[in-house]
Amino acid sequence: MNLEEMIPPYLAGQLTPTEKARFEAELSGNAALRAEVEHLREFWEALDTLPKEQPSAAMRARFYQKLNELTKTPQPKAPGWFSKWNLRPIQQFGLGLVLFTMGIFVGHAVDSSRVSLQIAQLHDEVRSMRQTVALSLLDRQSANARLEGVSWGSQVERPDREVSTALLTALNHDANVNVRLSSVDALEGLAGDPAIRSALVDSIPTQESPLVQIALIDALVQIHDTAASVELVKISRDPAYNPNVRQRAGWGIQKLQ
Amino acid sequence: MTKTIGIIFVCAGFLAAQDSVEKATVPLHDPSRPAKIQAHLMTGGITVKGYDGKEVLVEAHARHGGEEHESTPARAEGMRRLELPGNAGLEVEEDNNQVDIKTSSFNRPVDLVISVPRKSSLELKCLNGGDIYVEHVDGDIDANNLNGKVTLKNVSGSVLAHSLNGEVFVTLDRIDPSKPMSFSTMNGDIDVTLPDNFRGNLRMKTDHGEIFSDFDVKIDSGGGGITTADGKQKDGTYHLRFDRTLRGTVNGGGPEFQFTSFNGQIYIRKRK
Repeated sequence: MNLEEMIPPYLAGQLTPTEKARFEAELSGNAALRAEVEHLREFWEALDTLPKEQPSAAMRARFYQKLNELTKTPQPKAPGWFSKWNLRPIQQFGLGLVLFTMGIFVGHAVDSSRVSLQIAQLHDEVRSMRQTVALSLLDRQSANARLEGVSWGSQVERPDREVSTALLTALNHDANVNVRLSSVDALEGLAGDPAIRSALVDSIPTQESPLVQIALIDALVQIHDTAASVELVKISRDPAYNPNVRQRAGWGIQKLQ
Repeated sequence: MTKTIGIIFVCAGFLAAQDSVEKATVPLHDPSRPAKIQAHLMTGGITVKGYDGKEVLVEAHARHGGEEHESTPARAEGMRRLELPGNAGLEVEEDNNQVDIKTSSFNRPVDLVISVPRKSSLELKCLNGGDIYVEHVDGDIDANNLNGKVTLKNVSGSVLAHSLNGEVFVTLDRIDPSKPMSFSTMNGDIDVTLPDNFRGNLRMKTDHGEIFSDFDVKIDSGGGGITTADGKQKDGTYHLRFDRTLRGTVNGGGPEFQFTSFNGQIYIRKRK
Protein backbone atom coordinates (compact mmCIF):
# COMPACT_ATOMS: atom_id res chain seq x y z
CA MET A 1 0.00 0.00 0.00
CA ASN A 2 1.59 3.27 -1.00
CA LEU A 3 1.09 6.50 0.88
CA GLU A 4 -1.71 7.86 -1.31
CA GLU A 5 -3.64 4.63 -0.98
CA MET A 6 -3.28 4.93 2.78
CA ILE A 7 -5.04 8.31 2.96
CA PRO A 8 -8.67 7.08 2.85
CA PRO A 9 -8.21 4.33 5.45
CA TYR A 10 -6.29 6.84 7.62
CA LEU A 11 -9.16 9.31 7.50
CA ALA A 12 -11.66 6.52 8.16
CA GLY A 13 -9.54 5.30 11.08
CA GLN A 14 -9.06 1.86 9.53
CA LEU A 15 -5.24 1.63 9.68
CA THR A 16 -3.52 -0.76 12.07
CA PRO A 17 -1.56 0.97 14.85
CA THR A 18 1.80 0.29 13.18
CA GLU A 19 0.54 1.52 9.81
CA LYS A 20 -0.94 4.56 11.46
CA ALA A 21 2.35 5.35 13.22
CA ARG A 22 4.27 4.95 9.97
CA PHE A 23 1.83 7.14 8.09
CA GLU A 24 1.87 9.90 10.69
CA ALA A 25 5.67 9.88 10.78
CA GLU A 26 5.64 10.31 7.02
CA LEU A 27 2.98 12.99 7.28
CA SER A 28 5.01 15.19 9.60
CA GLY A 29 7.90 15.43 7.18
CA ASN A 30 5.91 15.54 3.91
CA ALA A 31 4.15 18.87 3.19
CA ALA A 32 2.61 17.68 -0.09
CA LEU A 33 1.09 14.66 1.56
CA ARG A 34 -0.19 16.80 4.41
CA ALA A 35 -1.91 19.15 1.92
CA GLU A 36 -3.45 16.15 0.15
CA VAL A 37 -4.79 14.74 3.41
CA GLU A 38 -6.22 18.09 4.43
CA HIS A 39 -7.87 18.54 1.06
CA LEU A 40 -9.47 15.13 1.23
CA ARG A 41 -10.58 15.61 4.82
CA GLU A 42 -12.36 18.87 3.92
CA PHE A 43 -14.08 17.15 1.00
CA TRP A 44 -15.29 14.28 3.17
CA GLU A 45 -16.54 16.62 5.86
CA ALA A 46 -18.40 18.64 3.22
CA LEU A 47 -20.07 15.42 2.03
CA ASP A 48 -21.36 14.83 5.56
CA THR A 49 -23.06 18.27 5.61
CA LEU A 50 -25.18 17.55 2.49
CA PRO A 51 -28.93 17.09 3.30
CA LYS A 52 -30.21 13.56 2.91
CA GLU A 53 -32.75 13.20 0.06
CA GLN A 54 -36.11 11.91 1.20
CA PRO A 55 -38.41 10.19 -1.35
CA SER A 56 -41.62 12.20 -1.74
CA ALA A 57 -45.05 10.60 -1.24
CA ALA A 58 -45.83 11.01 -4.94
CA MET A 59 -42.74 9.04 -5.92
CA ARG A 60 -43.71 6.16 -3.65
CA ALA A 61 -47.20 6.05 -5.26
CA ARG A 62 -45.76 6.06 -8.81
CA PHE A 63 -43.41 3.19 -7.93
CA TYR A 64 -46.15 0.90 -6.61
CA GLN A 65 -48.43 1.71 -9.54
CA LYS A 66 -45.72 0.59 -11.99
CA LEU A 67 -45.09 -2.56 -9.99
CA ASN A 68 -48.78 -3.53 -10.01
CA GLU A 69 -49.06 -3.05 -13.76
CA LEU A 70 -46.21 -5.49 -14.34
CA THR A 71 -47.36 -8.23 -11.97
CA LYS A 72 -51.14 -8.24 -12.52
CA THR A 73 -51.41 -7.89 -16.29
CA PRO A 74 -48.68 -9.97 -17.90
CA GLN A 75 -47.75 -9.05 -21.44
CA PRO A 76 -49.74 -11.19 -23.94
CA LYS A 77 -47.56 -13.31 -26.26
CA ALA A 78 -47.22 -12.15 -29.79
CA PRO A 79 -49.70 -14.17 -31.84
CA GLY A 80 -48.58 -15.99 -35.05
CA TRP A 81 -47.55 -19.36 -36.46
CA PHE A 82 -44.19 -19.28 -34.79
CA SER A 83 -45.71 -19.49 -31.32
CA LYS A 84 -47.59 -22.66 -32.26
CA TRP A 85 -44.29 -24.45 -32.84
CA ASN A 86 -43.75 -24.29 -29.15
CA LEU A 87 -46.66 -26.64 -28.63
CA ARG A 88 -45.66 -29.29 -31.20
CA PRO A 89 -42.30 -30.83 -30.37
CA ILE A 90 -42.46 -33.29 -33.27
CA GLN A 91 -42.80 -30.53 -35.82
CA GLN A 92 -40.12 -28.62 -34.02
CA PHE A 93 -37.84 -31.60 -34.29
CA GLY A 94 -38.74 -31.96 -37.98
CA LEU A 95 -37.86 -28.35 -38.67
CA GLY A 96 -34.58 -28.78 -36.83
CA LEU A 97 -33.75 -31.80 -38.95
CA VAL A 98 -34.58 -30.01 -42.19
CA LEU A 99 -32.48 -27.01 -41.21
CA PHE A 100 -29.64 -29.29 -40.15
CA THR A 101 -29.67 -31.18 -43.45
CA MET A 102 -29.83 -27.94 -45.39
CA GLY A 103 -26.96 -26.68 -43.32
CA ILE A 104 -24.84 -29.65 -44.29
CA PHE A 105 -25.52 -29.17 -47.98
CA VAL A 106 -25.04 -25.45 -47.88
CA GLY A 107 -21.94 -25.87 -45.81
CA HIS A 108 -20.60 -28.40 -48.28
CA ALA A 109 -21.27 -26.21 -51.27
CA VAL A 110 -19.68 -23.21 -49.63
CA ASP A 111 -16.84 -24.99 -47.92
CA SER A 112 -15.84 -27.88 -50.15
CA SER A 113 -13.40 -25.84 -52.17
CA ARG A 114 -11.79 -24.52 -49.02
CA VAL A 115 -11.67 -27.97 -47.39
CA SER A 116 -10.16 -29.61 -50.42
CA LEU A 117 -7.61 -26.81 -50.53
CA GLN A 118 -6.80 -27.49 -46.90
CA ILE A 119 -6.47 -31.20 -47.59
CA ALA A 120 -4.19 -30.45 -50.52
CA GLN A 121 -2.10 -28.19 -48.32
CA LEU A 122 -1.92 -30.86 -45.65
CA HIS A 123 -0.94 -33.38 -48.29
CA ASP A 124 1.82 -31.09 -49.48
CA GLU A 125 3.03 -30.59 -45.94
CA VAL A 126 3.19 -34.33 -45.33
CA ARG A 127 4.99 -34.77 -48.61
CA SER A 128 7.59 -32.13 -47.88
CA MET A 129 7.97 -33.42 -44.31
CA ARG A 130 8.66 -36.92 -45.63
CA GLN A 131 11.16 -35.51 -48.09
CA THR A 132 12.96 -33.63 -45.37
CA VAL A 133 13.08 -36.68 -43.13
CA ALA A 134 14.27 -38.88 -46.01
CA LEU A 135 17.02 -36.45 -47.01
CA SER A 136 18.31 -35.97 -43.49
CA LEU A 137 18.33 -39.71 -42.77
CA LEU A 138 20.03 -40.54 -46.07
CA ASP A 139 22.84 -38.26 -44.99
CA ARG A 140 23.52 -40.10 -41.76
CA GLN A 141 26.57 -42.12 -40.86
CA SER A 142 24.59 -45.10 -39.57
CA ALA A 143 23.51 -47.55 -42.29
CA ASN A 144 20.38 -48.34 -40.23
CA ALA A 145 19.39 -44.67 -40.42
CA ARG A 146 20.12 -44.54 -44.15
CA LEU A 147 17.92 -47.60 -44.72
CA GLU A 148 15.19 -45.72 -42.86
CA GLY A 149 15.85 -42.75 -45.14
CA VAL A 150 15.35 -44.90 -48.25
CA SER A 151 12.13 -46.21 -46.73
CA TRP A 152 10.86 -42.65 -46.13
CA GLY A 153 11.96 -41.63 -49.60
CA SER A 154 9.95 -44.45 -51.16
CA GLN A 155 6.83 -43.15 -49.39
CA VAL A 156 7.02 -39.69 -50.98
CA GLU A 157 4.59 -39.20 -53.84
CA ARG A 158 6.12 -37.39 -56.80
CA PRO A 159 9.38 -36.65 -54.95
CA ASP A 160 11.45 -33.62 -55.82
CA ARG A 161 14.60 -33.96 -57.85
CA GLU A 162 16.55 -33.62 -54.62
CA VAL A 163 15.04 -36.81 -53.19
CA SER A 164 15.39 -38.88 -56.35
CA THR A 165 19.00 -37.70 -56.63
CA ALA A 166 19.63 -38.72 -53.02
CA LEU A 167 18.13 -42.16 -53.73
CA LEU A 168 20.33 -42.52 -56.83
CA THR A 169 23.35 -41.52 -54.76
CA ALA A 170 22.39 -44.20 -52.25
CA LEU A 171 22.08 -46.75 -55.05
CA ASN A 172 25.47 -45.93 -56.56
CA HIS A 173 27.60 -44.92 -53.61
CA ASP A 174 26.20 -46.23 -50.34
CA ALA A 175 28.73 -48.42 -48.56
CA ASN A 176 26.03 -50.82 -47.39
CA VAL A 177 24.63 -53.55 -49.66
CA ASN A 178 21.25 -53.59 -47.89
CA VAL A 179 20.79 -49.85 -48.34
CA ARG A 180 21.64 -50.16 -52.03
CA LEU A 181 19.20 -53.06 -52.43
CA SER A 182 16.45 -51.09 -50.77
CA SER A 183 17.10 -48.04 -52.95
CA VAL A 184 16.59 -50.19 -56.08
CA ASP A 185 13.02 -50.83 -54.92
CA ALA A 186 12.42 -47.18 -54.06
CA LEU A 187 13.70 -46.07 -57.47
CA GLU A 188 11.62 -48.70 -59.27
CA GLY A 189 8.60 -46.76 -58.03
CA LEU A 190 9.94 -43.61 -59.74
CA ALA A 191 10.63 -45.31 -63.07
CA GLY A 192 8.07 -43.12 -64.82
CA ASP A 193 10.95 -40.66 -65.14
CA PRO A 194 13.16 -41.62 -68.15
CA ALA A 195 16.20 -40.15 -66.37
CA ILE A 196 15.68 -42.58 -63.49
CA ARG A 197 15.27 -45.51 -65.90
CA SER A 198 18.56 -44.78 -67.65
CA ALA A 199 20.25 -44.21 -64.29
CA LEU A 200 19.15 -47.70 -63.23
CA VAL A 201 20.69 -49.17 -66.40
CA ASP A 202 23.91 -47.21 -65.95
CA SER A 203 24.20 -48.37 -62.37
CA ILE A 204 24.52 -52.11 -63.15
CA PRO A 205 28.20 -52.11 -64.24
CA THR A 206 29.21 -49.93 -61.30
CA GLN A 207 27.79 -52.27 -58.66
CA GLU A 208 30.20 -54.64 -56.95
CA SER A 209 27.51 -56.86 -55.42
CA PRO A 210 25.86 -59.37 -57.77
CA LEU A 211 22.79 -59.25 -55.54
CA VAL A 212 22.29 -55.56 -56.35
CA GLN A 213 22.99 -56.16 -60.03
CA ILE A 214 20.30 -58.85 -60.13
CA ALA A 215 17.86 -56.57 -58.29
CA LEU A 216 18.52 -53.88 -60.92
CA ILE A 217 17.94 -56.29 -63.80
CA ASP A 218 14.70 -57.44 -62.15
CA ALA A 219 13.57 -53.83 -61.70
CA LEU A 220 14.23 -53.02 -65.35
CA VAL A 221 12.25 -56.09 -66.45
CA GLN A 222 9.51 -55.17 -64.00
CA ILE A 223 9.10 -51.67 -65.44
CA HIS A 224 9.50 -53.12 -68.93
CA ASP A 225 12.30 -50.82 -69.97
CA THR A 226 13.02 -52.16 -73.47
CA ALA A 227 15.87 -49.69 -73.85
CA ALA A 228 17.77 -51.70 -71.24
CA SER A 229 18.12 -54.68 -73.60
CA VAL A 230 21.31 -53.35 -75.16
CA GLU A 231 23.05 -53.17 -71.81
CA LEU A 232 21.67 -56.57 -70.77
CA VAL A 233 23.09 -58.17 -73.92
CA LYS A 234 26.49 -56.70 -73.05
CA ILE A 235 26.27 -58.03 -69.52
CA SER A 236 25.19 -61.51 -70.60
CA ARG A 237 28.31 -61.77 -72.79
CA ASP A 238 30.81 -60.24 -70.39
CA PRO A 239 32.71 -62.92 -68.45
CA ALA A 240 33.71 -60.33 -65.85
CA TYR A 241 30.22 -60.53 -64.42
CA ASN A 242 29.09 -63.13 -61.90
CA PRO A 243 27.59 -66.13 -63.79
CA ASN A 244 24.28 -65.70 -61.95
CA VAL A 245 24.12 -62.08 -63.11
CA ARG A 246 24.89 -63.03 -66.72
CA GLN A 247 22.20 -65.69 -66.60
CA ARG A 248 19.75 -63.18 -65.15
CA ALA A 249 20.58 -60.67 -67.86
CA GLY A 250 19.87 -63.35 -70.49
CA TRP A 251 16.51 -64.03 -68.86
CA GLY A 252 15.79 -60.29 -68.83
CA ILE A 253 16.51 -59.94 -72.55
CA GLN A 254 13.89 -62.61 -73.29
CA LYS A 255 11.32 -60.92 -71.07
CA LEU A 256 11.91 -57.52 -72.66
CA GLN A 257 11.50 -58.75 -76.22
CA MET B 1 32.28 -28.72 -28.35
CA THR B 2 35.61 -30.17 -27.64
CA LYS B 3 36.21 -33.68 -28.72
CA THR B 4 38.62 -35.88 -26.97
CA ILE B 5 40.28 -38.41 -29.14
CA GLY B 6 41.97 -41.25 -27.44
CA ILE B 7 44.17 -43.37 -29.59
CA ILE B 8 45.46 -46.60 -28.25
CA PHE B 9 48.14 -48.43 -30.10
CA VAL B 10 48.61 -51.73 -28.50
CA CYS B 11 52.11 -53.01 -28.10
CA ALA B 12 52.54 -56.49 -29.41
CA GLY B 13 54.44 -59.12 -27.67
CA PHE B 14 53.45 -58.88 -24.04
CA LEU B 15 51.32 -61.94 -24.49
CA ALA B 16 52.86 -63.22 -27.67
CA ALA B 17 54.31 -66.25 -26.01
CA GLN B 18 50.91 -67.93 -25.66
CA ASP B 19 48.33 -67.07 -28.20
CA SER B 20 49.46 -63.86 -29.89
CA VAL B 21 46.70 -61.91 -28.17
CA GLU B 22 46.67 -58.15 -28.10
CA LYS B 23 44.27 -56.49 -25.69
CA ALA B 24 42.91 -53.02 -25.29
CA THR B 25 40.51 -51.57 -22.75
CA VAL B 26 38.74 -48.52 -24.06
CA PRO B 27 36.90 -46.16 -21.70
CA LEU B 28 34.04 -44.28 -23.32
CA HIS B 29 33.86 -40.51 -23.51
CA ASP B 30 30.35 -40.60 -21.99
CA PRO B 31 29.37 -44.02 -20.61
CA SER B 32 25.75 -42.88 -20.11
CA ARG B 33 25.26 -42.73 -23.86
CA PRO B 34 25.35 -45.79 -26.17
CA ALA B 35 28.68 -46.63 -27.74
CA LYS B 36 29.14 -47.00 -31.45
CA ILE B 37 31.58 -49.71 -32.42
CA GLN B 38 33.12 -49.91 -35.85
CA ALA B 39 35.26 -52.92 -36.74
CA HIS B 40 36.66 -53.68 -40.16
CA LEU B 41 38.71 -56.77 -40.94
CA MET B 42 40.39 -58.05 -44.07
CA THR B 43 40.94 -61.61 -42.91
CA GLY B 44 39.49 -63.11 -39.80
CA GLY B 45 36.27 -63.13 -37.83
CA ILE B 46 34.59 -60.77 -35.41
CA THR B 47 32.83 -61.77 -32.19
CA VAL B 48 30.94 -59.12 -30.23
CA LYS B 49 29.35 -59.77 -26.85
CA GLY B 50 27.24 -57.37 -24.85
CA TYR B 51 28.10 -57.29 -21.15
CA ASP B 52 27.17 -55.29 -18.05
CA GLY B 53 30.07 -52.93 -18.16
CA LYS B 54 30.98 -49.42 -19.19
CA GLU B 55 34.14 -50.04 -21.19
CA VAL B 56 34.87 -51.59 -24.54
CA LEU B 57 37.27 -54.51 -24.28
CA VAL B 58 39.05 -55.56 -27.43
CA GLU B 59 41.10 -58.70 -27.98
CA ALA B 60 42.87 -59.45 -31.22
CA HIS B 61 43.90 -63.09 -31.67
CA ALA B 62 46.37 -63.55 -34.46
CA ARG B 63 45.99 -67.04 -35.86
CA HIS B 64 49.02 -69.22 -36.33
CA GLY B 65 48.14 -69.25 -39.96
CA GLY B 66 51.25 -70.95 -41.35
CA GLU B 67 51.53 -73.97 -39.14
CA GLU B 68 48.48 -76.00 -40.11
CA HIS B 69 48.39 -75.05 -43.73
CA GLU B 70 51.93 -74.89 -44.99
CA SER B 71 53.92 -78.07 -44.98
CA THR B 72 57.33 -77.89 -43.47
CA PRO B 73 59.93 -77.67 -46.25
CA ALA B 74 62.02 -80.80 -46.72
CA ARG B 75 65.18 -78.86 -45.94
CA ALA B 76 63.76 -78.05 -42.50
CA GLU B 77 63.98 -81.72 -41.57
CA GLY B 78 64.84 -82.04 -37.92
CA MET B 79 64.47 -78.32 -37.31
CA ARG B 80 61.98 -76.36 -35.26
CA ARG B 81 60.01 -73.41 -36.65
CA LEU B 82 60.84 -70.16 -34.92
CA GLU B 83 57.60 -68.13 -34.89
CA LEU B 84 57.69 -64.60 -36.11
CA PRO B 85 56.15 -62.22 -33.59
CA GLY B 86 52.40 -62.64 -33.89
CA ASN B 87 51.66 -59.06 -34.61
CA ALA B 88 47.94 -58.51 -35.03
CA GLY B 89 48.57 -54.79 -35.37
CA LEU B 90 45.52 -53.89 -33.35
CA GLU B 91 44.54 -50.24 -33.60
CA VAL B 92 41.72 -48.82 -31.51
CA GLU B 93 40.54 -45.25 -31.58
CA GLU B 94 37.86 -43.65 -29.43
CA ASP B 95 36.26 -40.37 -30.41
CA ASN B 96 33.19 -39.15 -28.56
CA ASN B 97 31.82 -42.65 -27.84
CA GLN B 98 32.67 -43.96 -31.29
CA VAL B 99 35.21 -46.76 -31.16
CA ASP B 100 37.03 -47.66 -34.37
CA ILE B 101 38.83 -51.00 -34.40
CA LYS B 102 41.25 -52.02 -37.12
CA THR B 103 44.09 -54.41 -37.59
CA SER B 104 47.03 -53.77 -39.80
CA SER B 105 47.94 -57.43 -40.20
CA PHE B 106 48.00 -58.63 -43.78
CA ASN B 107 50.06 -61.76 -43.50
CA ARG B 108 47.84 -63.69 -41.12
CA PRO B 109 44.19 -63.84 -40.10
CA VAL B 110 43.20 -61.99 -36.95
CA ASP B 111 40.09 -62.77 -34.95
CA LEU B 112 38.59 -59.93 -32.95
CA VAL B 113 36.72 -60.58 -29.72
CA ILE B 114 35.01 -57.43 -28.50
CA SER B 115 33.03 -56.96 -25.28
CA VAL B 116 30.74 -53.96 -25.38
CA PRO B 117 28.17 -52.33 -23.08
CA ARG B 118 24.79 -53.85 -23.98
CA LYS B 119 23.47 -50.56 -25.34
CA SER B 120 25.79 -50.21 -28.28
CA SER B 121 25.51 -49.79 -32.01
CA LEU B 122 27.71 -51.90 -34.25
CA GLU B 123 29.13 -51.59 -37.72
CA LEU B 124 31.02 -54.79 -38.54
CA LYS B 125 32.72 -55.71 -41.78
CA CYS B 126 34.62 -58.86 -42.71
CA LEU B 127 35.98 -59.89 -46.04
CA ASN B 128 37.61 -63.30 -45.82
CA GLY B 129 38.28 -66.20 -43.57
CA GLY B 130 35.94 -65.53 -40.74
CA ASP B 131 32.42 -65.27 -39.38
CA ILE B 132 30.61 -62.46 -37.65
CA TYR B 133 29.03 -63.45 -34.35
CA VAL B 134 27.13 -61.04 -32.11
CA GLU B 135 25.15 -61.67 -28.95
CA HIS B 136 23.23 -59.64 -26.33
CA VAL B 137 23.65 -56.26 -27.97
CA ASP B 138 20.85 -53.69 -28.09
CA GLY B 139 21.17 -50.99 -30.76
CA ASP B 140 21.54 -50.40 -34.48
CA ILE B 141 23.43 -53.41 -35.81
CA ASP B 142 24.95 -53.38 -39.26
CA ALA B 143 26.87 -56.55 -40.13
CA ASN B 144 28.47 -57.31 -43.48
CA ASN B 145 30.48 -60.36 -44.42
CA LEU B 146 31.74 -61.36 -47.81
CA ASN B 147 32.55 -65.03 -47.45
CA GLY B 148 31.55 -66.02 -43.95
CA LYS B 149 28.42 -66.37 -41.90
CA VAL B 150 26.61 -63.58 -40.07
CA THR B 151 25.07 -64.75 -36.78
CA LEU B 152 23.29 -62.28 -34.50
CA LYS B 153 21.92 -64.03 -31.44
CA ASN B 154 19.52 -62.53 -28.88
CA VAL B 155 20.03 -59.02 -30.13
CA SER B 156 17.61 -56.10 -29.90
CA GLY B 157 17.08 -52.89 -31.80
CA SER B 158 17.36 -52.84 -35.57
CA VAL B 159 19.41 -55.03 -37.88
CA LEU B 160 20.98 -54.80 -41.31
CA ALA B 161 22.72 -58.06 -42.12
CA HIS B 162 24.39 -59.14 -45.32
CA SER B 163 26.61 -61.97 -46.39
CA LEU B 164 27.49 -62.62 -49.97
CA ASN B 165 28.31 -66.29 -49.69
CA GLY B 166 27.35 -67.22 -46.17
CA GLU B 167 24.26 -67.77 -44.08
CA VAL B 168 22.48 -64.95 -42.29
CA PHE B 169 21.11 -66.11 -38.94
CA VAL B 170 19.41 -63.57 -36.68
CA THR B 171 17.33 -63.87 -33.53
CA LEU B 172 15.80 -60.64 -32.28
CA ASP B 173 14.52 -60.45 -28.69
CA ARG B 174 13.08 -56.96 -28.96
CA ILE B 175 12.86 -54.69 -31.95
CA ASP B 176 12.74 -50.96 -32.47
CA PRO B 177 9.14 -50.72 -33.75
CA SER B 178 9.78 -47.75 -36.02
CA LYS B 179 12.80 -48.94 -37.93
CA PRO B 180 13.03 -50.90 -41.18
CA MET B 181 15.36 -53.89 -41.36
CA SER B 182 17.09 -55.73 -44.13
CA PHE B 183 18.61 -59.21 -44.43
CA SER B 184 20.34 -60.33 -47.59
CA THR B 185 22.59 -63.04 -48.96
CA MET B 186 23.47 -64.22 -52.42
CA ASN B 187 24.23 -67.85 -51.78
CA GLY B 188 23.23 -68.60 -48.21
CA ASP B 189 20.02 -69.10 -46.29
CA ILE B 190 18.33 -66.37 -44.30
CA ASP B 191 16.96 -67.46 -40.93
CA VAL B 192 15.40 -64.68 -38.88
CA THR B 193 13.48 -64.98 -35.61
CA LEU B 194 11.28 -62.03 -34.65
CA PRO B 195 9.11 -61.26 -31.59
CA ASP B 196 5.63 -62.71 -32.18
CA ASN B 197 3.94 -59.29 -31.83
CA PHE B 198 6.17 -57.45 -34.28
CA ARG B 199 4.43 -55.40 -36.98
CA GLY B 200 5.94 -55.08 -40.39
CA ASN B 201 5.59 -54.97 -44.13
CA LEU B 202 7.58 -57.88 -45.51
CA ARG B 203 9.32 -57.88 -48.86
CA MET B 204 10.73 -61.32 -49.53
CA LYS B 205 12.64 -62.44 -52.56
CA THR B 206 14.54 -65.56 -53.42
CA ASP B 207 15.20 -66.82 -56.90
CA HIS B 208 16.19 -70.41 -56.39
CA GLY B 209 14.94 -70.97 -52.89
CA GLU B 210 11.69 -71.04 -50.98
CA ILE B 211 10.17 -68.94 -48.22
CA PHE B 212 8.84 -70.35 -44.95
CA SER B 213 7.19 -68.66 -41.99
CA ASP B 214 5.06 -69.51 -38.97
CA PHE B 215 3.80 -65.90 -38.81
CA ASP B 216 0.35 -65.18 -40.19
CA VAL B 217 1.61 -63.34 -43.28
CA LYS B 218 -1.12 -61.53 -45.22
CA ILE B 219 0.10 -61.62 -48.78
CA ASP B 220 -0.59 -58.52 -50.91
CA SER B 221 -2.31 -59.70 -54.04
CA GLY B 222 -1.95 -56.36 -55.78
CA GLY B 223 1.11 -54.18 -56.02
CA GLY B 224 4.11 -54.95 -58.11
CA GLY B 225 4.22 -58.69 -57.50
CA ILE B 226 2.23 -59.72 -60.52
CA THR B 227 2.23 -58.00 -63.85
CA THR B 228 0.91 -58.86 -67.21
CA ALA B 229 3.17 -60.31 -69.81
CA ASP B 230 3.86 -58.38 -72.96
CA GLY B 231 1.31 -55.72 -72.07
CA LYS B 232 -1.65 -58.09 -72.21
CA GLN B 233 -4.69 -57.17 -70.19
CA LYS B 234 -4.93 -58.22 -66.59
CA ASP B 235 -8.08 -60.26 -67.18
CA GLY B 236 -6.28 -62.43 -69.71
CA THR B 237 -4.63 -65.71 -68.85
CA TYR B 238 -1.11 -64.38 -69.33
CA HIS B 239 -0.46 -63.27 -65.80
CA LEU B 240 3.17 -63.83 -65.25
CA ARG B 241 5.19 -63.35 -62.16
CA PHE B 242 8.24 -61.57 -63.54
CA ASP B 243 9.33 -60.38 -60.19
CA ARG B 244 10.03 -63.03 -57.60
CA THR B 245 9.23 -60.55 -54.86
CA LEU B 246 6.55 -61.52 -52.38
CA ARG B 247 4.98 -58.72 -50.37
CA GLY B 248 2.91 -59.17 -47.26
CA THR B 249 2.09 -57.75 -43.84
CA VAL B 250 2.38 -59.20 -40.35
CA ASN B 251 0.16 -58.01 -37.47
CA GLY B 252 -1.34 -55.23 -39.54
CA GLY B 253 1.85 -53.94 -41.10
CA GLY B 254 4.57 -51.51 -40.07
CA PRO B 255 8.08 -50.65 -41.15
CA GLU B 256 9.63 -52.49 -44.05
CA PHE B 257 11.42 -55.81 -43.52
CA GLN B 258 13.38 -56.86 -46.56
CA PHE B 259 14.60 -60.43 -47.07
CA THR B 260 16.67 -60.97 -50.18
CA SER B 261 18.38 -64.16 -51.25
CA PHE B 262 19.30 -65.55 -54.61
CA ASN B 263 20.17 -69.18 -54.08
CA GLY B 264 19.09 -69.69 -50.49
CA GLN B 265 15.97 -70.37 -48.48
CA ILE B 266 14.25 -67.79 -46.32
CA TYR B 267 12.90 -68.69 -42.86
CA ILE B 268 10.95 -66.12 -40.87
CA ARG B 269 10.26 -67.49 -37.41
CA LYS B 270 8.18 -66.51 -34.43
CA ARG B 271 10.19 -66.13 -31.25
CA LYS B 272 8.97 -68.76 -28.82
